[in-house]
Amino acid sequence: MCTILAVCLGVLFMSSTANAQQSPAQLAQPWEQLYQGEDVTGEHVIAMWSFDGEVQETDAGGKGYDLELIGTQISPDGKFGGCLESFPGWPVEDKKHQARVQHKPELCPAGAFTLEMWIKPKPELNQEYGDAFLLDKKYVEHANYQFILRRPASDGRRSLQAVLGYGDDSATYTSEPAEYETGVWYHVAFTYDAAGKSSFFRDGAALGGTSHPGRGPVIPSQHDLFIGDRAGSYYHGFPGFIDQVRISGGVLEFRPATFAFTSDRTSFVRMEDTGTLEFTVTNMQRTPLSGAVCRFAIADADQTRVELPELAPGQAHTVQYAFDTSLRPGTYRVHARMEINGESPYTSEEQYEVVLVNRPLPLRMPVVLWGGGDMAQVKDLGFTHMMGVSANMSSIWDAGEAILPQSEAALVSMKERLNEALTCDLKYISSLSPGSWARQNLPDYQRVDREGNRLEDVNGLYPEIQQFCHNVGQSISQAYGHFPAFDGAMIHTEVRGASRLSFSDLDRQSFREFAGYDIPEQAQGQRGIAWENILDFPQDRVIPDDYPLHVYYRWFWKQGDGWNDLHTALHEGLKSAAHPGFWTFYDPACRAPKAWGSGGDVDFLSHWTYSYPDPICIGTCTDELFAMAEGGPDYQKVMKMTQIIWYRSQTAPMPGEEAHVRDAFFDDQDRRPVTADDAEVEGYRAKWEKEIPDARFITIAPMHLREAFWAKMARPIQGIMYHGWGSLVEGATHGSYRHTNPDTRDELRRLVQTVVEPLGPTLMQVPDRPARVAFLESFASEMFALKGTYGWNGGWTGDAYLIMHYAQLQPQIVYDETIERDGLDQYQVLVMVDCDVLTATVAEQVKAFQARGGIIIGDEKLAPAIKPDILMQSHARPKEADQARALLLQRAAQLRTELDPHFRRYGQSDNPDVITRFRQWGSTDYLFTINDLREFGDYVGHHGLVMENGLPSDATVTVNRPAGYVYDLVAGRQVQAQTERDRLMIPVALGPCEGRVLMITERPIAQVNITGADTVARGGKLTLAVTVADEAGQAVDAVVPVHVEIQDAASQVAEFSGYYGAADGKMQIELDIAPNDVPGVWSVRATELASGRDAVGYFRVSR
Amino acid sequence: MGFFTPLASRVRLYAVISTCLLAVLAAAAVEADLRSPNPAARRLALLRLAEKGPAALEQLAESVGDRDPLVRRAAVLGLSSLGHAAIPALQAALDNDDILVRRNAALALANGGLQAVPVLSKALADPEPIVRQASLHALAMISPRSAETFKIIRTAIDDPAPEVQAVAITASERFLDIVVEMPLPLEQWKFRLDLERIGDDERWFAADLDDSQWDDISIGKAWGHFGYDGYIGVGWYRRIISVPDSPEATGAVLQFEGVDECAWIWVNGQYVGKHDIGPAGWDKPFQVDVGDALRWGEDNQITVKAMNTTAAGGIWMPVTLRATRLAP
Repeated sequence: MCTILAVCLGVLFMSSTANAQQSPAQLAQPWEQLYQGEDVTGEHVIAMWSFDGEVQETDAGGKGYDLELIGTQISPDGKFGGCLESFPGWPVEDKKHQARVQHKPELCPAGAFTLEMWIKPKPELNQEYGDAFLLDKKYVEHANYQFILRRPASDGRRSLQAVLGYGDDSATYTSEPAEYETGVWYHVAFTYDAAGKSSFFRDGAALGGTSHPGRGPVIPSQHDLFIGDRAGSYYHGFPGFIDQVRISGGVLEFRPATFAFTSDRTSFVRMEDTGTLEFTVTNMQRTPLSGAVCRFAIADADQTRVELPELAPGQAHTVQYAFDTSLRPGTYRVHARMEINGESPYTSEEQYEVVLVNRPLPLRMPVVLWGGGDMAQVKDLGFTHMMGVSANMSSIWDAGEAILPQSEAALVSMKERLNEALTCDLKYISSLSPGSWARQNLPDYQRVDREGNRLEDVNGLYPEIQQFCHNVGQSISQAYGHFPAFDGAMIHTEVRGASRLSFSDLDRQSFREFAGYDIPEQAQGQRGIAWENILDFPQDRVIPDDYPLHVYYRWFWKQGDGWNDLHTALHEGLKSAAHPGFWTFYDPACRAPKAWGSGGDVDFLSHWTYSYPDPICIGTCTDELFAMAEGGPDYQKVMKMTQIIWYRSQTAPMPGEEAHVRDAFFDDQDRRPVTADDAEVEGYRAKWEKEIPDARFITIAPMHLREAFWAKMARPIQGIMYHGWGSLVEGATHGSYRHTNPDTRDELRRLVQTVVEPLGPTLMQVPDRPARVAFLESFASEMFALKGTYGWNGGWTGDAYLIMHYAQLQPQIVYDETIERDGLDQYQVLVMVDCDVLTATVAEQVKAFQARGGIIIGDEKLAPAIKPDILMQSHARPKEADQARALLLQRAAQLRTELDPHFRRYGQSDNPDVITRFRQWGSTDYLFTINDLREFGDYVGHHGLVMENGLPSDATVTVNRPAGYVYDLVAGRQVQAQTERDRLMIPVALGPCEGRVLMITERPIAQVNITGADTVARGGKLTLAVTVADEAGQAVDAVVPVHVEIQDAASQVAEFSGYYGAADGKMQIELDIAPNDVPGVWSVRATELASGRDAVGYFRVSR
Repeated sequence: MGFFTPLASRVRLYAVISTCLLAVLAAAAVEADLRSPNPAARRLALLRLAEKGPAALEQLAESVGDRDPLVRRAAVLGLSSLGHAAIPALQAALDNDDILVRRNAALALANGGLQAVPVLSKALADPEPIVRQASLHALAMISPRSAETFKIIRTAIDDPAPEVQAVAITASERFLDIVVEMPLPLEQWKFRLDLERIGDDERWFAADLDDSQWDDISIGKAWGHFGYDGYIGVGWYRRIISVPDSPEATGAVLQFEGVDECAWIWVNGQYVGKHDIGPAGWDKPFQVDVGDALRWGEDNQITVKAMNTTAAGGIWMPVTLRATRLAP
């Protein structure tokens, strides 16, 4: 065992040294000698008494700090000549035994300071004698300082103690205990950094210290200073001799060399190749240091020895120690020791805890808290990520290059949190918006209107701004990118909602270079210009692809406003030094017209959604994100955020209130009329309304959370997010977010535990079933008919999309660019609502699609060039949620009467309240069913705006496949389905707002098999293969959720236990048996979560 | 031919025969599908048939009466590709019970040239606004443009449906050249709240009304900027506008870029039009024809009654006078 560890731990190397020019005050004090020269009269010395010379009763520096001896005397038996002799106080003799120094303001250090003296106990400092006061300028006030040798502990050892006053209270700082023998001189010292951190030293060796973060300098007082005793009350003199008492400004050093743990990492992921621990030795002597040696060891491993080169005074040297990350996960104590031999031997020994954590399982679905919170609470609710890494934009802009992104103190603090986060399986996301900072702080780089007036919006076309964004990303990446718990970054959140047109020379030149002509004069607003206001606009409302205004607006929204390039620059900066798994996301990616490129080259697009009034509306925005990502880089995928908060005005308005946020859901709808009478209506009020009547934002209802959750999980998203910590948990700092529904938190935890964790790895791999119904969100119509959802899921477009769901059509959103690139061949139905204006290419594609038999559903505003097959006229949404939903269901039923004879769905529910959605892997379907049947409750429902309570629903889902074996992945059981006329009929019973995912396979799951080697040596590798198979042993053509539990020989759950998604029914686990793993028989249990079948395997780990 | 026909020629012959046979079989399949009880099959067969051009006319015309709406509409789609020959059938389709058949038929008639103008004129009386809108679109697209077409379109400005009015306005603009474009002054308007709703009865729109005691106000900003913040109700704007002489003009409109929310307009005491589509109209541009009421080269009195039911109100965007003449 020891041999193995020695091999693993033995990699040591040294880095180059650093030589700093340091003043004598910064180097170790020559405490072993009589202080002289600068050490007595230097600027850093506040006062010193040596009790020597012609006038023994004054300070050695000649500053007039005279001593009044009260019950004490000058003795010739000092460490260096004369000294102060004091005597025991209470209970031996409750009298003063002190040297009093009259108060002077200079004796009250304004900042950091150091107290030191030589002491030699007399026999009276015995077990029975309590505290012995060495210095006191505090007494009982909360000001200044006391320096005490504490009463002995049961083992006879005493600690040094400093009590510091801060005005309102005092704080105590304590050293490690040590023995103080009679008749022996000891040099004792205390340093305080004026920021809550203390250190104690005895005879030049560190004696520990305590910290009180957040504390500042001590508060001065008018008390005299007393040496050798307490100021008053009962007296507690030091029974012994005191010499060379010195009070200095600043934190002084007393060790011949410092030996510091300077790694910023204390936690590592198993098998990580950067498990290096770093220590720094600095020669603090005023002479060269030679012959120093460092030794390191972990647990019972062999020591590793490193000899240091000779170090000049002040010179630092770094020693790196390769921590073996192949050890089994756990907490390890690293013993580090530095030895200086020679005339004055010195040893510094420290122990550090290093944590080694399991490697993450593949494809764990992120559950991101969009915001920050208490780490333990965040973890408890099932979140995998939270936000919390920031940067000082101003400093980085001033530097013009990548620098440390925060102050040293902030960096240290953040790194501590990152280390802690890794140990509790939580990760951090950074929220970075250098562009937003530039918008407010760099007026020279702002946009300008046509008259040349500055607009408060940064112009991202400036190369300086792009470089700045890169520098910010790089700064963060260099500082934190090597922390595994720093996992991602949110890029420039919420910046494009009001991205305004700009007409600077740079803008004009950029567009001219792009298009070959100037920005059209008619371009005024960023959201386009109504076609009615354009003279000679084509009457069929089909514009040429190169219509100058269209060219301009598309350029503006893809490139011209600069944001997409800024996102990319920040993304690339962040990636420059980050670990390989680091990811970025941009939100709200759909708060822009439907032109590809929103978010630049980030890894994920996201967007938040408020679940009211109908939770399934979250699907609209999610599908828009997929359409947007279609035009992004190949790797770009989608995550989705649900708002925990609800706008009060949209759910439960206060009396007299109307929607006050213009961009809220009902922005483009007639809002609930508010009259003076409303304010006087006093009907039923929910409990929370009575308790927090002024709550601006309340908690989403738990059933809404549930249905919205299923609506987004039904889509191939790669992560989920939630915002609104103040509304989610009780007692959080809430601001305007109020916690009004305690059940929501429990529901979220339940959903994560029962769905996301077990099924996430599977669902992340399963793509959508190719859609047959396309839903065009037209950029040309947004720009020339002022249409567009801008991610709010609202208006007629939003309602029409919900109608498609209630009509069981599983639409896919396409943009103009989708059609231009991919055509419409894969579709049978094309929905064109709010498509007033089309480009020529899109119009031609649509006509060709229709000529081939494609069915067009259009509204009354559809461009006259297109003749729809089905008319779906727009409507104004009723404000009452029940009426609105009933209208949508009615419209869906109407649509079906005309469409159904011509369009055969792959699957559908016979109950329109149960919405279906299909995903597909090979021959396997993943059928999602979501129960949308709801009623008004008493949380907000009494206001009539939201139906927040679900009701149970039953349905039969028909799937157009002749056969299949159906598995409920949430319940983990097979479902009995029937085949009728070559169709599969599946009964579904859903609870309120509940969702379900059913896996339908071609062949039944009959067995689970585990294969692998029988034996593996410690330190060796072993491959486990798990197969979910049919009766014949052939792996099923599906991604099957599997739970694996590996137990070591001591019955402890081992690394790589957890949830997987076995693609094509197969998965592998590569085990790295640690050199210190438990030898013996290990077990592996693999359980497929479709029907609950399992298998157990065993292997032996040999010594 | 016969046994002595060279092999290559025989191959060609067989190919021709095969092609003919296939065509016959395909035609037979289309024919069968057209009689299919399955509407989807009928629709697809019609779309295939439409590719044959005029030969499909009769069947397409017949299928406009199909019992399935999508088949009917596919028939109209097919007819729309047949040019003038399809005009009678399309004209007949304008009487179909199916709104979308009528709408699509009207649009298809845009390809019918001047011959289709009277037909479309008749369609402007359709009970459904979307059919009337389509008819206007079609009229505007007909080439060549004619004064008669313009006159027909112009009458639709008085259509009861605002969405039809809007189309009539934009369609008619295509026929006009602008000879004078004069933004109305933003300042020096007179204003009075109509708290009791008595303005109409007391004829606050009269040209000779003494408004000297009314408040001063500007347009181009909501009335909340001038001390009426939060006012819900009716307010009247009045001003004298000096209009230059314009002998070329054959018509004139007042173009309002935005009145929050509804407006009724008088020129020289003569009522000329309104914008009344409810709260949603607050940001919708509109225009009224003032050609009959305006006096060129003279002072003209303009009165606007504005009504607001929520949030901000008033003439919050500019107003422009446009004198026009029929484009050559």
